[in-house]
Amino acid sequence: MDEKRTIMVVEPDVLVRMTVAEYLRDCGYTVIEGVAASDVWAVLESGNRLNAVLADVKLSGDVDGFSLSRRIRQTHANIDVILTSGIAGAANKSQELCEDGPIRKPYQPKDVEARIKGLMERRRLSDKS
Amino acid sequence: MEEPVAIQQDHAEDPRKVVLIVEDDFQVRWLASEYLRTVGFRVIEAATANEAIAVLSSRTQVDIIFSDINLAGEVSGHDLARWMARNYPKVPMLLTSGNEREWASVETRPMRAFLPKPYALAEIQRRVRELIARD
Repeated sequence: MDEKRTIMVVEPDVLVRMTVAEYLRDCGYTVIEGVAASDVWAVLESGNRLNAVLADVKLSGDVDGFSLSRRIRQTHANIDVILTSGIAGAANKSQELCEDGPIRKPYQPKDVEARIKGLMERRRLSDKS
Repeated sequence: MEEPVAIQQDHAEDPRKVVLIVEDDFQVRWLASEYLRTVGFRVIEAATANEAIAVLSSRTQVDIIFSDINLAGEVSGHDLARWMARNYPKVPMLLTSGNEREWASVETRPMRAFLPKPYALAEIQRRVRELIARD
């Protein structure tokens, strides 16, 4: 692979975003993290190149993942848009990217899902105490 | 024949050190995070203080917090600092703001430092290293 590929992960839940982004970095990608559709436009308008956008259907702000996806396909047809829904969806889609990624995946997608759920459970228990 | 140039490993950070950045401005967060990753830190990005609290509550390793004081949402950087003092008093915090007077209202603790905005990226690294070394 000639150059490091860049993926933007747009995900409003910090625990999902953090885990998926770290997983994709371990797979050799450059990863930019965002929470809203406007973050994607900020990257593109600054002249940075994205190879793929992995976005949840629910995003922070007024624009949802479906609208973001439509707009990217209209204006930047060369960018792959991958929509996800929920933890399992994000884990599975990140696995597909990793399978196709620059380096061998360091762990399984079920581990990504299990890790996110483990973090959420610990947060829940912490909130209770 | 010239000696090969050494890669700047001596400037690389201990990869085990984790910086949690709390910044609601996407472009500022992106730039600072990318810079800190480039110099060798692991970086977790939070857009709000509540996100930072969610990360810390999940027992994810965090060695230092670099947080804006004026954050979007109901919880400010000051509130986060107070929450940290109660829950994670040993985790250092580097606080930043465009308003230098904010520093006067930050609770004085040995594990707190202030970096006025706008800042040079290299200055974040210097201050973060300095605070971690105090630990």
